[in-house]
Amino acid sequence: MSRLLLLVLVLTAGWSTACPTCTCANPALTTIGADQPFAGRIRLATTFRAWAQQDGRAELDRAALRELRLDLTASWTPLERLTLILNVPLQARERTDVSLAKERGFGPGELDLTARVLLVGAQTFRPRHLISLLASARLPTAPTLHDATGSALSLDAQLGPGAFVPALGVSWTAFIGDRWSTFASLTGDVPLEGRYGLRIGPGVQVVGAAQFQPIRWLGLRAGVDARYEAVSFLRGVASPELAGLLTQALADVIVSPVSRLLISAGVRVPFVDTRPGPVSSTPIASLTVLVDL
Amino acid sequence: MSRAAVLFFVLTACAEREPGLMVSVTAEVASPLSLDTATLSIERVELVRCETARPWWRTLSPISTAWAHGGADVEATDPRVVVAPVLVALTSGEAQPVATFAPPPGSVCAVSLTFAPSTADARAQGTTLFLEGAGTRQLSTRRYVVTKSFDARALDEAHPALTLRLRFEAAPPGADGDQTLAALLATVSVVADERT
Repeated sequence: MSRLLLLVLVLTAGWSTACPTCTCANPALTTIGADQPFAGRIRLATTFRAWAQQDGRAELDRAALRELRLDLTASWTPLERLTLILNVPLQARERTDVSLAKERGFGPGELDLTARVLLVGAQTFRPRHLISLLASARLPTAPTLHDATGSALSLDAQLGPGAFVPALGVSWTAFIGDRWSTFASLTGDVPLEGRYGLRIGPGVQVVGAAQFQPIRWLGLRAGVDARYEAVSFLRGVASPELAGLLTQALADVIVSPVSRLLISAGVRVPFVDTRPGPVSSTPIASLTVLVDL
Repeated sequence: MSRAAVLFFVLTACAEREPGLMVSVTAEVASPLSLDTATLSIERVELVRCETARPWWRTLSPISTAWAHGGADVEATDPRVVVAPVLVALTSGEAQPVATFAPPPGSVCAVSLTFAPSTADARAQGTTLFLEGAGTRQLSTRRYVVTKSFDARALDEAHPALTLRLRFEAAPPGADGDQTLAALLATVSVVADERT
């Protein structure tokens, strides 16, 4: 059903030729979600990410996951106070178990729809603060992957939990002069039961970052991305291995070589991890290309 | 064309599975017994790692390795252990599957077999050894752990599969079941066949 909906959307969509005002007074280089919305603004972004994780006990049940992920994101501001954001991931994932048996999957992941309602900062030419309410839903659009014999891949090899995940949050962007800006957000999500009877524990995510622009086309961003997740349940049985706090330091370099184009490269490095696991996550590398239409 | 490409990209999902390391253990009876019933119960099979020297830097570390979980939990999840009752038919000369492992990489040097009263198969009537037929009826409920060594075999991506063939020389029944069982287990040998 979700594929059919996607098919209809793609077939009926046309390329927008609208041109939003590019002389927006705020010089901060912002990514989707932290930006200053104005009616008619459309932004498209692709983010490439690579990450890996190991969990389980060595020699017993250790499994290694690694993933390459391409997020296709579009944001559209139909009204000054309302921005709609759609994110469609394409993922290639590999799981290697303790015996070196591998499962590989490729395909579309789980689609995210976010509505951002601007509470503070609208109708101002150069606002100092943008405060927004965020409401989002992750949809179970990733198909269940099967191998050539028709047997379904394991839960970890699937491209998502296959669950509906509603989330609510608030974000705050502050512009301090021409060179500094900060961004902070707090979101909470409560996943419903998904594939194979997995219900991921409710989570709270906090992101805080400061950005410095020594020159107009170059931004340097540093901050913290932390998520706390409660205990998950698999077919009603508590699975506390991945419950806990994972805090990552983030660092991004943002450049805007030409007007309307923004390129961001960054890394997230785990530094506080209270999950009992045993689990270890590698740094996450990312590269984003963003275009203002 | 571009829309078709987008559609193909978005709607296509595929998956594959690639087998990992595998060790199969089979049992063969060199001289099958001509009885109505002759069974030998194996309750547990373990692959034994080759002893490896501790790296020198580990000897300097003040931090010891600790398991977050232990005991029965480790036993239950140890991929080098199969706790599943199996009966070997001593009346058959064909190779019989005993256990299959999906172990972690490393070298194995021995296989440890626990012969114990059967807990799963009614044919064995709760015995370790059960012989019946041709005017003979013997049984034994003794428990033995037999470890048989072989030349070290590496298990890694270049050597992903190994078969351990257990061979039993089934002799005519002795004075009683316990004696027959002890004599039978004294003949166990193992041959390691590497498959590529």
